Amino acid sequence: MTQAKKILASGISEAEAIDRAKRGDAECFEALYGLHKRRVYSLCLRMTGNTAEAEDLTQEAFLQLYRKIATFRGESAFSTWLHRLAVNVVLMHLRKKGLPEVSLEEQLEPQQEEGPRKDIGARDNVLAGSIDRVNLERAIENLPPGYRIIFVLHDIEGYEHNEIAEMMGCSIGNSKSQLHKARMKLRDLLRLSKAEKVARR
Amino acid sequence: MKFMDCSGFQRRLPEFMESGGSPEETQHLESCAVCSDLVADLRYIAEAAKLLVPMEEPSPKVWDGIQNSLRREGLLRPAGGPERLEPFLISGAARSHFYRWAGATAAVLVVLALIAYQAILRNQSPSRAYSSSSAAVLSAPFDDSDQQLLSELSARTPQMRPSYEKSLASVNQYIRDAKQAAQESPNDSDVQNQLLNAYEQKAALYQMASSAP
Repeated sequence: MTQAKKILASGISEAEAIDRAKRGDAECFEALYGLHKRRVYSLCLRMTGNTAEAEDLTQEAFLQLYRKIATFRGESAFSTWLHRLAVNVVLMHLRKKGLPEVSLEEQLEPQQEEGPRKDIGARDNVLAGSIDRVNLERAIENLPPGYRIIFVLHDIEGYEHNEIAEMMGCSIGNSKSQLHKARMKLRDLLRLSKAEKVARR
Repeated sequence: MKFMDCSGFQRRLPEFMESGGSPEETQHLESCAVCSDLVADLRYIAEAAKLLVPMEEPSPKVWDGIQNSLRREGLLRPAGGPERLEPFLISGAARSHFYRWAGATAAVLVVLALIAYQAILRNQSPSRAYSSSSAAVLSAPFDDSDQQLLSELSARTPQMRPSYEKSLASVNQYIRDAKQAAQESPNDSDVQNQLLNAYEQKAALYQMASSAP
């Protein structure tokens, strides 16, 4: 049985585990890791699209958690606080790497490939009912990094545009525009996947 | 009211998606199948994304790395220190019964995952290898075991039932999606891992439910 399960099975609440972890209790910190590792890792993986990077960033996020947990005052839910911390760790890492958001403002300029839809006047079947989790996860992985980050933060993680703009250091309009482009790109990827599936049958 | 064409509508689509449309945009949407399909797709993608619950698990080396770093920095207090865990807060008999049942169900789910995995490896339709109870998992939102789990939770901690209902529905959907993908691409190892992972997630959910206060 993992440490998280042992502690939860012992009847300790998460709030109590947080209090004890603040006082340096290693077992309670491990329990918190067990409770939140999946969500933090999924966030890192979806934002980076790379397993090794996601694992390194998950490790870094929990190390920062250990160092900063004493500053958690409970103004927001612990998971919200930890999640924001993890997002900041990922964004910091991407900035060091030469973050895709460097070109974010430039991407606001209209590009040839992003003009009016080429399918105007040609009706196709809608996607509803044809997307499954596996296809959607794969399509998100294949998004350009700048689009992927905004899409993950807004549509999956539920951040508002003003929060994303603050975290990413861009305008709210830019965040909205990038999200729209991300959804349009995803639509293309999913329609392609759907067409390939039909062709295989 | 001004006439709006597809090109004009699609230029204003980001704002339309965020805050709804003007009368001109709404009128165009009602009369244009291409743009209404496009809007339907974008809304569908946004809704589908909200259902992507975290399913990936980091490898054990992540926790090892955290421990090693904390030890190097002298931040980690050895286990078994002065803090002691609280005794059980839930009645022992009820808890013990629930553990046995939920543990057995979790074990069955892991076995089902292995059966499904073996079926795919043999390039067969996995559905032939499933038991009737797993077939129910794949077709209905909740099977008998799920219902029993939810009933137990309702009796112990009713406020947690909605959260577990949502998670169970998500993981059951995940199993259905992964199974369908596995049937379509039986030689794709990623898809096979997704299916195994889906069953493992369900088993983990049952174990978490058994640990819920």
